[in-house]
Amino acid sequence: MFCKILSLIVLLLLIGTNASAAAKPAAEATIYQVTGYAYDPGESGGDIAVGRVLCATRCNAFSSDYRNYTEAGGWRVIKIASDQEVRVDIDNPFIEGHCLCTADQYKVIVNSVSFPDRTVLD
Amino acid sequence: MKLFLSLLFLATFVLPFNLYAAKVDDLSPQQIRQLGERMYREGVLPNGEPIQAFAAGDIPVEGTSFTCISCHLRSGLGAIEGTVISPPATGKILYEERTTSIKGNEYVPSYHSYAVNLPPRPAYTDETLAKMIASGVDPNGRSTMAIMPRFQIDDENMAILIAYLKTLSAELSVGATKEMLHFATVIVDGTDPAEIESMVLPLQFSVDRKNSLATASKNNDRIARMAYNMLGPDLLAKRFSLERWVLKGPSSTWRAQLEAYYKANPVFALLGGISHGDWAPVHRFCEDKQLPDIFPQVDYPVLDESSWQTIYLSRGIRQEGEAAARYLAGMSELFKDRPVIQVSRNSRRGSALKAGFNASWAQKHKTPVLDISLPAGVALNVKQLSKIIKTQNPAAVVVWDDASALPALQKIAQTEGWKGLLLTSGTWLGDKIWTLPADMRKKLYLTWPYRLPHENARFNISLKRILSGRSLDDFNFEVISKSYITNEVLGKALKDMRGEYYRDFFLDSIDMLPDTYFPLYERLSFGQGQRFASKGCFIVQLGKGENPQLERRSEWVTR
Repeated sequence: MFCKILSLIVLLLLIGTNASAAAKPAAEATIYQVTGYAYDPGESGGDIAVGRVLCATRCNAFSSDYRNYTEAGGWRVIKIASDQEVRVDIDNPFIEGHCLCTADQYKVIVNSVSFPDRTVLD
Repeated sequence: MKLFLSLLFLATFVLPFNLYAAKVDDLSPQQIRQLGERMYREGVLPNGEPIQAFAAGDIPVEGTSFTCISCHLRSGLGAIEGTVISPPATGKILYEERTTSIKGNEYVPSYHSYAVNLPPRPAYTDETLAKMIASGVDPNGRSTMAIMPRFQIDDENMAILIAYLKTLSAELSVGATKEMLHFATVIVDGTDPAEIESMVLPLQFSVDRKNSLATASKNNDRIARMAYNMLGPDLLAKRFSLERWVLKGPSSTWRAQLEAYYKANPVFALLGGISHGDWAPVHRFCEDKQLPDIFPQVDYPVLDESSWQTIYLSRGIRQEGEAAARYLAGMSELFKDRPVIQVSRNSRRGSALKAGFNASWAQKHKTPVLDISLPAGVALNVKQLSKIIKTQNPAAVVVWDDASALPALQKIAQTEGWKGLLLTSGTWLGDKIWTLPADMRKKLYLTWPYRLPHENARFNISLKRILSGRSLDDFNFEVISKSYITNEVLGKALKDMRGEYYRDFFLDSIDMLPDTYFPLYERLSFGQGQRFASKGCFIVQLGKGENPQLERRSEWVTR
């Protein structure tokens, strides 16, 4: 009887944990702030000038506004690398190739400066 | 000799001014308001000519380009932007001595920070004020900043302008009393009760919290000190009220209902409000009564750039259509004379998206969009559309319809030999957006006028603060987020108003807010006279995997 109650409690706890986890943002994330862009047509023969214009949009889309993380409250962003070259698909039906986004890499972490024991923000 | 010089001075400067001032006395208050307001807001003299002025010392400019309102704002209460200080230009403040503190608020940190930026000076008189407007020299004999033009206005017109400044923000606006600030929110009858609750809860929370603070400050010295520092003694002591104005029946009857509500309780401003249909009668009512309305939650805002009283969160449904056109326009060089086909449901939502798309497209392209209209109740005809795609070979197909169009879109995306871009409204798909089949995700582009959901989840912590322990799932997420924004902006604006409760200053204070990051929207930006706070929209695609996320394919596309 005791075991049954215990397993029921464990089950309820697990359900509760999963449900709340679904509503939570990832505790940590990696984001990029793009500082430059280029187009790599590869073997597709895509127009360099047009590809470069499209890569401006594509790399901007890849970039994150850090204030969307810090202004929410409870997170901070720390720079972990500068001028990384990140290769992303151009994602365009008219032209093939890749975009080379030059970006600073940041890690989004829970702001535990004032609360050293805190690892997750609810 | 001295007597002669004195008489000459009187004859040259003082007497003519008084003579013309007497002429101003012949004008009715309404005439002064009309003529003075035109000079202040438009830089136009009563005779219709532009005011002449010199900027940066000796560069001749027209007053229509350097109006008083552009720096001193509509309320006349001015602003500080970076290093540019535009002090208040209202008679009430100009005709009082200025010191390094604001009387009665000497120890309020934000008031102090503001006051120390303005140099002390004695009270103006009509003569010293006229001299300052004409020559840029204040009663201390000190020049104002070079950015302030020196206006060439004759004595008669100067007297009209000065008389107008004396009326500017001279009396507290209706709905603001020494003890109270009255607000209302407009609800269109028939709106989903869950949405109404989600809209009202943050507003009521704000009102209740403010009133609790006012009560607690009376009973607890520590709370009183904290609230004094944050709000100042005036806002601290004020209590708020929030009425619900429910509009029933057809929109043609709303005006009379609004008049009745307003007569019974003339509020200071409307907060929020909700309607999925018409809003124009409320918008017009606010314009006529000069009643601010902050962030009504409407799908179809009134797009009148000359309106002043209503600040919307965005341009509504139409904004997605505008963003789609701008996104396509950015790659139109690749279309090589291939047409764009737009299929839109013949409904208010479909028409708004289509209108937004066409208006934005027409700004950059002369090639017309091939429009296909879907009558109500008629499903998207895949065969017909596939045939058109095969014959026309469009560069892009834009479909404005709900999730019922998804099976057809899937087939269109698979049209053999067609290499083009398929785009639709992400918000109109609702929750079905998350169920897009894997083979479609790479081909279908979506408009998304909000922050991406997985990034926005971080802001839930802000929303949870106002839920009093209830779950966010109990509410309509978009509606409660928008109402939360209203609540935050209200608080920021009131704190910036320094106890000057004028409706125009309320709107000026919102206009002067910096870009802000609240739940839901990527960012909100404000500016003088700007009436749509969120100006952008993303173009996104659904990513891979079992729990896919939206992925940006564009930056925040702005108008």
